[in-house]
Formats: sequence, structure tokens, C-alpha cells
Amino acid sequence: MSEGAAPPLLEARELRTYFPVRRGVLRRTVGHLQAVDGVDLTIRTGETLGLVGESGCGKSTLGRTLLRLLEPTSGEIRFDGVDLLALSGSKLKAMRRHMQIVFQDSVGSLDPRMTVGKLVGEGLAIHGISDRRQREEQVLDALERVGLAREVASRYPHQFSGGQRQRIGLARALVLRPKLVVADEPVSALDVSIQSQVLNLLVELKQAFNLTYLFVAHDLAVVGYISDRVAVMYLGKIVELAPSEALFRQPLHPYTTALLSANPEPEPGRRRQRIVLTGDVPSPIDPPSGCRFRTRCPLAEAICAEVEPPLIDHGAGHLAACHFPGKPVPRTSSHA
Amino acid sequence: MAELLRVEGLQTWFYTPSGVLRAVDGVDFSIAEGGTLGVVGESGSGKSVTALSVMQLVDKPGRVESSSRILFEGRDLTELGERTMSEIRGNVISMIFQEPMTSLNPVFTVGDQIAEAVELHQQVGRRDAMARAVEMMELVGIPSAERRIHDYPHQMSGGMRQRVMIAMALSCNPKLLIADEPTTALDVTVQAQILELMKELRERLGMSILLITHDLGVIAEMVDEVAVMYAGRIVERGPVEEVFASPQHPYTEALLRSIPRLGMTYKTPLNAIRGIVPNPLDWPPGCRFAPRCDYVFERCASEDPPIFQVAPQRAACWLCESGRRVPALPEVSR
Repeated sequence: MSEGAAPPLLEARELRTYFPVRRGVLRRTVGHLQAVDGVDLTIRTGETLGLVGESGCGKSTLGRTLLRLLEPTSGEIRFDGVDLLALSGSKLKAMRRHMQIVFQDSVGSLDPRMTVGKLVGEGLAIHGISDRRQREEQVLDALERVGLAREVASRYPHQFSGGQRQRIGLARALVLRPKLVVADEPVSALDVSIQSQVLNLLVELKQAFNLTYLFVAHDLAVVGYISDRVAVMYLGKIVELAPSEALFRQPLHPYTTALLSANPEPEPGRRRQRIVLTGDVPSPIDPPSGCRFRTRCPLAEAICAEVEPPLIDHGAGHLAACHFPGKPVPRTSSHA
Repeated sequence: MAELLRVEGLQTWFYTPSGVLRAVDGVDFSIAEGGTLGVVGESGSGKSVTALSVMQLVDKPGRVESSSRILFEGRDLTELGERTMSEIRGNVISMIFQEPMTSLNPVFTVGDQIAEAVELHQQVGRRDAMARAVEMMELVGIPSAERRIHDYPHQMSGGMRQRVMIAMALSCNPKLLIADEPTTALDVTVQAQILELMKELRERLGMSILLITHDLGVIAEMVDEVAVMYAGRIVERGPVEEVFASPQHPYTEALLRSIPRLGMTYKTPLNAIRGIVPNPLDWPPGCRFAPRCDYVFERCASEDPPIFQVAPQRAACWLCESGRRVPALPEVSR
């Protein structure tokens, strides 16, 4: 599915989402938190694009900005050929039907007094799709498609486990027959045995409904498993983007290499050559000059502080933003 | 190696208005001096309650049942009064938790909090205790410890706070460190730092570790022995390499097959474990994993399997009655 031929469903150019930082009694703006800072991204029709990064890297903000749930500070977003930022009112509302989002616990954050049937059918009602009877049928269908019994429609969300609630959240998104689903940490709160059920379901649904996913998560193995291509974010920027397989086999950015080596794998006794990054992620209010990763990068040289490396293609759609792409990163061997 | 901790027939039940919740229901394990045991399980399996039981920190309506034995250096902790126990806690046995922010007091500096533990247990004055706090903060790799000792918890990052917790826990040279999901709230690169630190300190200080986690990857990196918990019981235990390479209990096998590994793609469906974790107010009869097990047969639903020795590990499954099984595991590349 990852052939270059697939047309883009969503394209973002030079996207920036800043949040004002206010201080003092007058709540004066003293700076900006640069959550998303100059992102170019294309999501192709029919693919699953993974977005991975550590907390605070801006991945969730990017996901929300792409759906215009957050207003970008600047940049362009085209969805299905339409300039999303030029839309307003009823046109924007109509477009929203095609772009749905599923959160870590979407259903847990909804009105607990609404039945599952109501919650799943809410979008249909808002968009005025079909009449009441048809809507009921569509809701029951959607519930079945996500592996729940039709009877659950009359029950309440708190009566369900985390995995079942995530299925309800998916039904709520799918009932609208969207083109794009943004899944923001959809399996992070689930136990491993339930996580695999939901991942399998996501793959099945994508095929059945010709969906396109933006899959946002912090777990590398999960993102790599479900995605055709993966984008790695660090401090508001995409530092590497590549087909999953290439990214895991041969990462070009030292941050990706470090992330991969830090991931604990269930294989005891394997002597790991680990890259342990020093320090913490710098503040997105006052990010480092040049390459933002340079303060923690084992490869950093003078140029990294002066010139910001652009995200460029190093062949076969493997993009990286580094002055020394693919240069071996020194490792410290672990005690294990 | 001498045995440090032996837990026998541990039952910790909660007397709730809806009935008796048997969170931990017959658990046996032991840890040698300098040994590491990992307890792995999903939410509700009873792993955290097991840790709290060892610390004697189970509150009402919970209770460690009277038939349970928790022998630490031969002394039964369940028979000690609260006063003696408080001398052991934080001193000979100490514990770190998942969220350091909630375990640290926000109105005291981190130095004060480490020093308090030292003063309490080691009969030293304030000045010596503060010096010890600086020493401990250096030990756990907090840069410019002399200065950061005056920081409040909120001024530190999550990784630094967890280092402070570790410094506090180790300040009295405990023989046993209980770590309950110590890196779950941390990002993966910070988790790697903390895991490296814990390994290094264990080698240097020679303490035993009881590590509680849901993460099989963390278990694989950190411990020698593993116990897999399901529905209030240990279903399998043994050396971590053997248990991961050749799991004998079907639950262990299913867990290992259900996690995506680096390099796997969606073209190969994951092995999902069907159904959901049973209700602890009403565990299923017979083997508690039977309703979700791929290998289930008649006996499983009626008779509770004892734990069979299938050297070098043990597993509570009827299939192990007649010896080792050959589990189906995915090929691990690289």
C-alpha cells in the first residue's frame, strides 16, 4: 500500500502550532511554546502513517492541528484537494465528517449518561445523515463491525472494560464512513492481551472500509507494526520519515537510532549495545539553535548549532533531518 | 546464595460491599540474597497487591489472610507489630512506585526528604543526614547534587524525580528493593537511563530486587527469575531466559505471542488472547485461565491445577502434569 502512486489524502506545508506562554498578573505573553514548528507531511490515500515520539514532542498537537481541532499559527493543510484552513461554518462541518479521531479513552471522556447507541449515533444526528430508523440500523451495524453485540447499544459506557470502550470509540468514528481516522494513543491504556485484539481490529477495519490512518503513539514496536510509513518527531519537528521496514532496519537520524536502542525487548540475555542519551528533552519554549537534538546528540559538531538541517530525501522515500545521516552512533555496552 | 525472602500461600483479600475480592489468592515465591525476581502480569492480576503485602501496606478493607507467610531473613513479617514493621520499612526493605510526583512531598525540598529517611533510621544528626543525601543524589547520577538538593520536586523532570525516589529508597542500604512499575510513567529514552542505573546500583550495592511490571521487555532486561501472575496466582515461574524461550503455561505463551516486536508488520496478525480478564470477585472455577485458553480441555474447567515442576521452571497447567510442552512462539529475527 505504500507505493508512491497513491494520491495524497492530506497534505500539510510549513505547519506551525504555537501556544502563548503567559506570565505575571497581567498575563502578558512572554513567549511561545512551539508545539509544532514547521512540519511538512503527506498522508497518502489508503496508508497508515505512524507518528512516534516522546511526551511533549508535539505529536498529539500535530494530529489535532491536521484535523483543525486546533488552529495552526501558520501553514497550509489540504484535505482531499480542499484548502482546509479556508473552510468555515457549514462547509467545515461537512468536511469534518470525513475526518474522525479516536483517543486513548474516547468513550470515557464522553457523557456517561448517554447510552452506547446514542454515543455512537451522535455524529450521524449532528450531520443530519439518514432518518432516525436508518440511523439506528447504522449504529447497530457499526457495533457489530467492531466486534460488539447489538445489545450493547442500550447499555452505558461505564459498564465496559477498556478494550470494549475502545471498540465503542471506533464504532463512533466509523459510523460516519470517514476517509481519515486519526488514532491518538489508541492502545496505550490497554493491557497487552487486549492491545493485540484492538490492533488486529484496526487492521481489519482499515481494509474493510478503505480507511487512511494517522496512528499517533509513543510505543515504537506498536507504531512500526501497524504503519506503512513512520514519522519520528522531536521537539516540534519531524526528524525522520521512512517506510516502516527501512526505518527499523536502517535508521538515519541519531535520535531514531537512540529510540530504537532504548526500546526494551522481550528477549532476555541478548547483549545490547545501547545508546543512552544524556539529559532531558529541552523546553519547547526556548528550543536549541540549529538542530534541536544537538544538545543530546552523541554526533553533534559545531555546524549543528549553527545550521538547522532540512528534512531531505536520502533515497527511496527515506527522509531525515541531520547533518550526518546514517553515521554510526557510538554505543555503550550494557551490563545485562 | 542464602534466601532473603520467602512468601508462602500469600492470600490478600479485600472485603468489599459487593463481596470478597481475592486479589492475591495463593502465591508462593522466594528471592535469594542479591537475586532479582520480576513479577509480570496484566492489570488486576494481583502483582501490586503482592508487593504491598510484603511491605505490610495493605489497608482496610484489605487483609493479608492469617494462613499467609512472609518470611524475611527467617522472620515472619505478618506476625510483627506495626512498630517493628516501620523500622524495617524504608530501612531494610524499601519501595519505589510508578509516579514519583505523588510519592514525594511537594512542600519539602528533595534533600529534606532524603535526609528525613536517613535520620529516621540511622540515628544520625541533620548535618550528616544532609551529607548522606548529597552522596545518594550523586550515586543516582543527579548532576550538581550539592545545588539540586535544595530543589522542590516540581522543579525536576520525571526522570530526575524517579532518581530522587531511588536515592531515598537506597539511602539506608536496604537488603531488598521493591520497585512497582518504576519506569512506566517515563519516556523510553529516560526509562533506559533509569533501568541502566538500577542495574548498576544492584551490582554495586548487592541488594535484592523485586520488580513489578506489566512490561515483558523490562522484565527481560532486568531480572534473573520471573513469576507470571494471572488472576491472583502465579501461573509460571523460573529463570527468565527459559520462561521466555520456552514458556510452559499457555498464558505465558499467549502473552509473549501477543506483543508486537520491532520489525513485525501488520501483514502477520497478532495472536490476540480472546475474552477479558475474569472478575476477581468471582474467579472462574478450575483453572482461571481456562475460559481464554487455546489448549483448554474438560479437566481444566473443573479441577484447579497445582504448580508442576517442569525443570527448570514451574507451571500451573494440567498439560505440564506429564512433562514439558513445546510451545508455539514467533520467530524472533536478528
